[in-house]
Amino acid sequence: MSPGLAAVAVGIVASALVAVSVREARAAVLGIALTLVLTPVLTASPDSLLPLAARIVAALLAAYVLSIAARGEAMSTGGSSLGWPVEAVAAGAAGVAGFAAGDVGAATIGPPEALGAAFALLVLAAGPVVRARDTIRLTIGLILVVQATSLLRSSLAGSPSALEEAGWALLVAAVAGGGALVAIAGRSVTGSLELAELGRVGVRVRQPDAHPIQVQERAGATIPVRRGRLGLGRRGGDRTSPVATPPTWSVTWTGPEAPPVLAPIPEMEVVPLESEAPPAPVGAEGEPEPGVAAEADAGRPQSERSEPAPESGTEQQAVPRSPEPEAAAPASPAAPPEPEPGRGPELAVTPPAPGSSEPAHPRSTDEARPRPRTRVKARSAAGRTARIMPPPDERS
Amino acid sequence: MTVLPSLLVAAVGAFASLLTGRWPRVSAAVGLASLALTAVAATTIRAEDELAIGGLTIEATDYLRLFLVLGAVTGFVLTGLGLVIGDRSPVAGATAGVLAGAGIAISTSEPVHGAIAATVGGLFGLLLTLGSPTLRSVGVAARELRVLVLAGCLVIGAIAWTGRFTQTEVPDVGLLGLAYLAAVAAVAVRFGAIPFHGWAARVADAASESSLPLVMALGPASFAVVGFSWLGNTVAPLDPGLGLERALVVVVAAMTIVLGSAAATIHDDLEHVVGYGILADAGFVVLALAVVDAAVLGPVLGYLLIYVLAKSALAAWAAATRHAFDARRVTELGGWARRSPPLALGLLLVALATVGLPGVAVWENRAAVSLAALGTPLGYLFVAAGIAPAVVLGRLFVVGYGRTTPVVAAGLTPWPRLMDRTRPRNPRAALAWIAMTWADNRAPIAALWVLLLAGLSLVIAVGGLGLRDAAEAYGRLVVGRG
Repeated sequence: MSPGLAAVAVGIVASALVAVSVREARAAVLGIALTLVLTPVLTASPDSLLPLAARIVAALLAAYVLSIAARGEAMSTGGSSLGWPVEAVAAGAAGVAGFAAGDVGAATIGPPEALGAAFALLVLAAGPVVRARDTIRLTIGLILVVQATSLLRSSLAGSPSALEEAGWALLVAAVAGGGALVAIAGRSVTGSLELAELGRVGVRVRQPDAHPIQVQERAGATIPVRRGRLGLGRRGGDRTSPVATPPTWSVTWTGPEAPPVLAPIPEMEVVPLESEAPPAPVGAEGEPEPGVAAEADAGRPQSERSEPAPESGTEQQAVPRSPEPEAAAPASPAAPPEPEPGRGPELAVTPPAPGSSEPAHPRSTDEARPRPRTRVKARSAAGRTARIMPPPDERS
Repeated sequence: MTVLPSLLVAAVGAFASLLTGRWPRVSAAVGLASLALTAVAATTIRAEDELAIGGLTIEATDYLRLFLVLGAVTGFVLTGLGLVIGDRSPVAGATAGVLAGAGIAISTSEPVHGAIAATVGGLFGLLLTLGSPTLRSVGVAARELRVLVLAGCLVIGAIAWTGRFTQTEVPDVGLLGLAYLAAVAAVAVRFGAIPFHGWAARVADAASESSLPLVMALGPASFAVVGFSWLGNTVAPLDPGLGLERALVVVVAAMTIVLGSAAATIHDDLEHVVGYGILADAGFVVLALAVVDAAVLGPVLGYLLIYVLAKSALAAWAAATRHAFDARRVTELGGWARRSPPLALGLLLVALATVGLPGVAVWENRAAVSLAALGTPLGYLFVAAGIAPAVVLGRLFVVGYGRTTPVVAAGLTPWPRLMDRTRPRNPRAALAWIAMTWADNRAPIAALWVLLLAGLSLVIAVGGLGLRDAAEAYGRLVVGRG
């Protein structure tokens, strides 16, 4: 094993790891650019530097077109669902296996380090290619597959000819250009890089890691309120766009009986009780009519929506408003209201503590907009009710 | 040396059309010019002319000449048809790009170069899917991008893996079988063979009718040529057996032919009928991959060209019919054939070119592939399955000669007519007269394009233009490269 080549192979895998793990789109592009620059170094023939230069130029071109597609504020990729440590371990294991394969049965003509790096790149590319959540991440995965194929070819057949190097350079630039074309077209339609908004079945958008699971204990019961489908919190699960993440509200069981599971909650219906704000004309500019905003937002890009729609029925999103005498029963989240005699158990939906779950990226367009001031009450199909409480700073 | 001009013109024209994509008319004009020049330059290709570049040999063949000329003419006609019916997809530029890649793929002596070229050429198909970006088309384009790149890398990986076996005495049959399956899967995925048809079915939703054959037939055909070349000069000489793997490929081919034809028959949407019709006939290409024998190269290479032409003509008919009657459902097209005899004649020519008759090239090629894959008597089942497109097209004729629907009755007239027979008195009036006449005769002009393409496909299907000899000679050349 050549230490120099091994170092280059480790550099290739490390930069690819950065490309598939980070959320910032430009950082991911930088990672893939490093991968593209280092890959031909591992396999190039030392006799001729022109093919190497061609591939480096193609790498820079590919990174440039991808950076064009990733321009803009808060353009993020899905990042790695498993987290970079898991990806690193998996890629390392694959790299070692690939390196050892040269001794087991895959007789290599080229450097065995290239075979190891090819295996590692294939493992890193599997997630973005199979389960692509956004166009940039998909393109990065496909470029990694191309690089892995070129490394595989070089390790099995030796250093490629100058013309073949030119072919690989062209292929990398073409794949990056195609991916950038799709990404730009997607942004022109949805305003984001996400494929989930393009009707991809089974692919859900992942939120940033800024919001941990919130758990509150009431009456001896603990109900976790989570944004993920599986309640996995920090890693895994489904979340919404990082740009439009609202503060998370918590659901607390206040009744004397055993707490319900979350299953009945999807049956809840949100019933507007009254409106304290002066009625705004429907369709007029400015304040949307409560309940109408969500419908009007359905066909607009995520970044332009006034309020994000709830992901599923297990999560109730409510808009803070002024306190009502009858609704301000709980003085704080730590002191839940007692159920009224004879009313049975209730679900109270309370907001998070101030500052505990601020959005990672403040919504520039929505912050200055006055909020609707409508009281709502959630009622489950089983007759349970949930009151939507105002935020703590507005209750007193 | 005679190959380079056509390839250069096609490549430069494709990029020029791409760069002028902001102005659709300019882009179409550039693309049309490049296609016309490509066709003209390709006619000058002389067989057995070679060009060595950096250890790579570019070999000119009659098959390459036919492929480039017919591909350019097909793209030209489809672009012209698109201009008539108002389709703004950049068909001309995309066709030029696909042809540039196909030219390199067919002429190169190194299969890896061919696979790279065919993959890069296929990426131009994204332009057609993204012609007018919508929620659906962007998602479809992302899937298409993934399919194109993965298929290319699969074939290149298989070529790299099997390249080692030619240097050893006894190849590892297990690993060779895996490489064979990878390459076959790549070609099958590119054609949208069932069960890999998910992306192709969505492309039929997103791309226009006149774009479909370029994405689903012309691009995959050049990719398939690379696959067949590799099979003929690398795998076949090893005589690996591969019974189980080949049986798997036969199953995929049978599913594609039967289920694809069934889907084309029962679907009501015209685009889906065209899309499933294209992938159903690709089943015979997949079936040929099950024959690890250089003897099948000639018939299947001939079938590939017929396939591209016939399916392009079918797509052109669908586009012209949809434009004439402003209907995209088969059930709305009752009486279309009586209303528009030119389109009925076009579909009849397409049917003849697709199904063929015993003794003509398309039938003989299909029968040769089927019998080589399965022998007798099972091979005759596949020969009979070749009639399946007649059911699909027969249904369209039954509807066409059925009761006329209000949609068809309100359709455009298929016969040419002049708006005003008085002579224009000045140039401005002459231009206005031409514009009005053009606008009022779109349907007849579209039908003319359909007839042109359908007639060309029939000529090729009966073995005209020296197709059979060209395909056989190319097959021998490919085997000799091994």
